[in-house]
Amino acid sequence: MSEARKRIGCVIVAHGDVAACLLDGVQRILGTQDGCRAVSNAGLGLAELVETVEEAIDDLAKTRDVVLFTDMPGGSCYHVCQEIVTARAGIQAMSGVNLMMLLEFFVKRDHHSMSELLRLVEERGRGAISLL
Amino acid sequence: MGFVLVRIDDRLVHGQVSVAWGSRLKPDRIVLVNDDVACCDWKRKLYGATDSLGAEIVVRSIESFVAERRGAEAGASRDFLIVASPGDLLALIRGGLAIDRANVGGMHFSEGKRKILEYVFVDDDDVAALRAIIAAGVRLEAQDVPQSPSYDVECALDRVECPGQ
Repeated sequence: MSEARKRIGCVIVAHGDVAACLLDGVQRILGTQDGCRAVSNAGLGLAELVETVEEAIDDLAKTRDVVLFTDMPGGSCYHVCQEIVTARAGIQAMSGVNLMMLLEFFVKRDHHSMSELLRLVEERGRGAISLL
Repeated sequence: MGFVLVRIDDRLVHGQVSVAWGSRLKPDRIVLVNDDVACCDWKRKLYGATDSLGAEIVVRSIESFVAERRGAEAGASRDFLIVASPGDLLALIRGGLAIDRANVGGMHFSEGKRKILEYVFVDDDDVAALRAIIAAGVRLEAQDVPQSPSYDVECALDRVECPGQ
């Protein structure tokens, strides 16, 4: 890792308990991780969800570049991530989050640039889908 | 009438709308009437591109929706109409939208709002608009997804706003 590069953190924004459960799954496999937050849309309107995600980003952004992972294209979480990415420079977002994407993210995040990391994460996420 | 469902939902077009209700109702179009989205280019594109199981998504401002319907024949298309708030629905009704029932799908908590049902929070403006919609002969039923029970919004308002009556 180059001296100049900030570490990379993530906020997972998803329906119900999905974000917290994905993070729980990651940490059961990789152990405790820092620089990550889980946000649920439960009970929140769009404006309140934007605010909650912004707070999570601000908390991480002091020391890190931040990527948002969200679950369902076209859902409220996705729309909120889109709104934040549009309004705020330097925040990246990716939908369709699954466990393999997050494992790839946490394993590789200190060894790649943001754009390269996101390419690897996307590839791993797509590759995780197969018929058994 | 042309509407398979008219819904108040402050999350606009999202999973409950496009997937849960969309797969049940199979609308031809999801018509999102919202001034904030209609006047913003990227928001209009974002909502217009939502994957909604084959339904076309149409975004209109309140004014353009009212103007479009004025003088139009009662269409044969099966539209699913979404507005963000009771105030917006009331504006459509006052603009000539004739409906006898509407669904309240999500009015989430924000500062200063009080709870009348699990996912329905209101302030004084919301209550006034909901009462005016009911007074216009519209039955309002709260139901977030098709699999959930529905609740009469007038009863819920009476229970919370006028306890003991």
